[in-house]
Amino acid sequence: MRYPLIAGFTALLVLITALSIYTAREEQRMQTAQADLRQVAITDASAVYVQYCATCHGATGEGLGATPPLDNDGVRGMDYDTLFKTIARGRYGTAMTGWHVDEGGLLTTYQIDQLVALLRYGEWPQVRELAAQQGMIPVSLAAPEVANEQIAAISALGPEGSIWANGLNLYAQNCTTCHGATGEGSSLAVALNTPELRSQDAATITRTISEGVPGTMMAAWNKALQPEEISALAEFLLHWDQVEAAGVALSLPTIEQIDLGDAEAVLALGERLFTTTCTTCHGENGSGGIGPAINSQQFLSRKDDAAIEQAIIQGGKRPNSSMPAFGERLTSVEITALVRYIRSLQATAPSVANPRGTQQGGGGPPWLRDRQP
Amino acid sequence: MAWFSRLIYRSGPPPEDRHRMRAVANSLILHLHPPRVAAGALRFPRTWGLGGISALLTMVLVVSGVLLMFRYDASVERAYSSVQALETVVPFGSLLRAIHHWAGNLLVITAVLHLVRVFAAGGFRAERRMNWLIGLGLLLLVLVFNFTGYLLPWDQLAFWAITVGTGLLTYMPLLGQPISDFLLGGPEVAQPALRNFYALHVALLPVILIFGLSYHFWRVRKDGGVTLPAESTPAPRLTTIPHLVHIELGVALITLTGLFIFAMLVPAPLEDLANPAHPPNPAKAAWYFLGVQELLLHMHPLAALLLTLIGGLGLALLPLWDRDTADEGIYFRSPTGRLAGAIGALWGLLFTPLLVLVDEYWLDLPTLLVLLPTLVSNGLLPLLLTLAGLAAIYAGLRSGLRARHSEALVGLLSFVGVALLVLTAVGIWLRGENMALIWPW
Repeated sequence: MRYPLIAGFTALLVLITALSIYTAREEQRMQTAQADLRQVAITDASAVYVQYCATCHGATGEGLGATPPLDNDGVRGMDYDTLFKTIARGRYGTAMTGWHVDEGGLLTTYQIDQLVALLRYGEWPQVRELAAQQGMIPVSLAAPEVANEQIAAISALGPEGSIWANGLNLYAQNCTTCHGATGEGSSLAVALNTPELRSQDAATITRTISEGVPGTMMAAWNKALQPEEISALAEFLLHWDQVEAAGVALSLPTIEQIDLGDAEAVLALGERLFTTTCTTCHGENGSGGIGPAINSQQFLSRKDDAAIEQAIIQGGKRPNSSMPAFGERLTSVEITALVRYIRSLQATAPSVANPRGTQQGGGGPPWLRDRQP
Repeated sequence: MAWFSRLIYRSGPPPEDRHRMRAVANSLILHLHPPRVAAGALRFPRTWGLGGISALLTMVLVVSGVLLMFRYDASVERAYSSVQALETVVPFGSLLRAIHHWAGNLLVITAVLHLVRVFAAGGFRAERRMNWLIGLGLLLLVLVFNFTGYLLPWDQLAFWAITVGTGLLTYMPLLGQPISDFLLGGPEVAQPALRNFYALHVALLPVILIFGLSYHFWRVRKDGGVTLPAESTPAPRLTTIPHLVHIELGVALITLTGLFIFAMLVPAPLEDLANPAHPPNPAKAAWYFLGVQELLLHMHPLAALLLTLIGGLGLALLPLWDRDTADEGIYFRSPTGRLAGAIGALWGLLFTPLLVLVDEYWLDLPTLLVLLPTLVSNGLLPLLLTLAGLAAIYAGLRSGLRARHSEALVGLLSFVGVALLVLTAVGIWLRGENMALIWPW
């Protein structure tokens, strides 16, 4: 009759051992579980974002027109309450409405929590990919571009010209979505290109930028910008009239929505991407350069779509190939559009005597000697 | 501490520590058990410890459930997040939930096996009639416990299983709709339903369980303990302490270890947040109801429920149906009974999948008998055919094996039991999108 008791206490020993092991691993398990949960929240929120937020805040949170950008350190540094309340209750006097179901919106507390997770830990490439699958192709540059001539023009204005140029550059990257490309202001933010602003001293402006303005959308930028960058911004703001007088002005890029069912539109997207991304190496119209002549019968007849797509995603497979991997930089939709555009060239592509790029040495066409092992 | 001993012993305490210890242990344990038990009842294969394991699981469920209550929040807004918090930020929260979840599921299995064991030993006749009924009631209670607990995490699985489950209820004539309305507190599964289920799960049902379980234990002892075969010579009797207590302690520790280690390895499932707008496909009830849900695919809801009801009624009335106490305590009555049981099980294993396939792919009674209303062609007819089939099995066993009434009943019930098992298995593993038959791998 001792047998059950012995078996029982053996089991107890096993249980104690197992519990000790479990206890030792519990801390790490919780960390992993939290990380997983955050990942799930971000993924879920990406879908919500694309559905509800992207039309105003842009396909990758870059901000559109007067709507502020979200993919910046200013937003990432905001505390939970501010973000939650902004999304849940909206912001008075702006286009941002209350999104919580209690405020007549469409989102539950749980979904808004997830959105906050996206904003704070944000993985915008994931959003970008999702948005692209819905046909929202982000503009390649979210902020207005500051041309070199413009910088040169400002630098020529005076001894502090280079600081002002730096300030303009920072302004273009960080401020235009709320304060406008010409500093005209918007429903979200005050106008900056005004005599009133210029009548303040540099220290006041610097403090406002550094510490933000409580109760408004103005974030504390000292988390995202260096002190000298902030003072450059302030200097620029104080001398904007002179910059403007020199004929330097910013213009905002625009987003376009592409109908992915429309083959023409996809081809047009492919062509746009090809001219902006590929022609530097592959030559005007793909006629060849550092890289091979894509627009040639030799290339197109020997590479199927899958091979081209692979090359775009993973880059050149030959050692020393200077073809970069674009898998991280382009969404799947953009890559598909590129491949389709490249394939569309086949109908008119000429036969080229030597399609190899200058980077590829002699020894016959590379696609013949470069066999996959 | 003299006043404390007086509270316990009323008269003076036992003189020595050893005696004192004994007195406490004896008085506690001997409230449940008689001082001596028959040696035959102590052999493990006599009971497999199923009743004791079920009682132990109940205790585990009470303790883990009370602990879970400290972190759970029964509101639609926060239920799911509180479970997520339990899984991610509460130390041992995940383990606790897994223990509660798996103990609850295991309890359904052990309670059913306990029922099967008692039926096989014939422990439901004569004075044990009442306790058989109480036991059936407790099994029903366990199912209601599981059903109400299923909703609480408020994930997709919970939401849609309860939606389907209460949907099944409404097929019940007269009573179905009121019961469903009472449970849900509204037309659909929402905040009132969650609050109701929570109240039932943590307040009302435990009270019923404690009274029912106490009565069940008390009756076991008063009705003469474990059913044993009659013997010519008086059976030897052994003292409860240590013989029975040692076995109980051993089995309890092994069960606990098994349960805890399983819970450590397999966390309780948690799907996405409940979304009333996106039903999963297929939407299935909890696994122990899938036998009934499978039945619904084959007949009119009324017929399926009637069949379930007849089955339940048959079990409840079993003590009146089979009063033959001659073979009490002998597993499956006799060698003939054992054969009848094996044949019944084998037929169940063969015919049920066959009937499922035939009904799924070839036989379509409503289109075949287009003139009859579906209530007849898809309801009454399959119901009568099923009952006729069961009667035929009984009659076949009676005449073919020359089985006595109680022996043929073993065959009949083992057929029904295996058929239910097969239907449940089909429901769990072989039903895919739109509840079509699929091959799981």
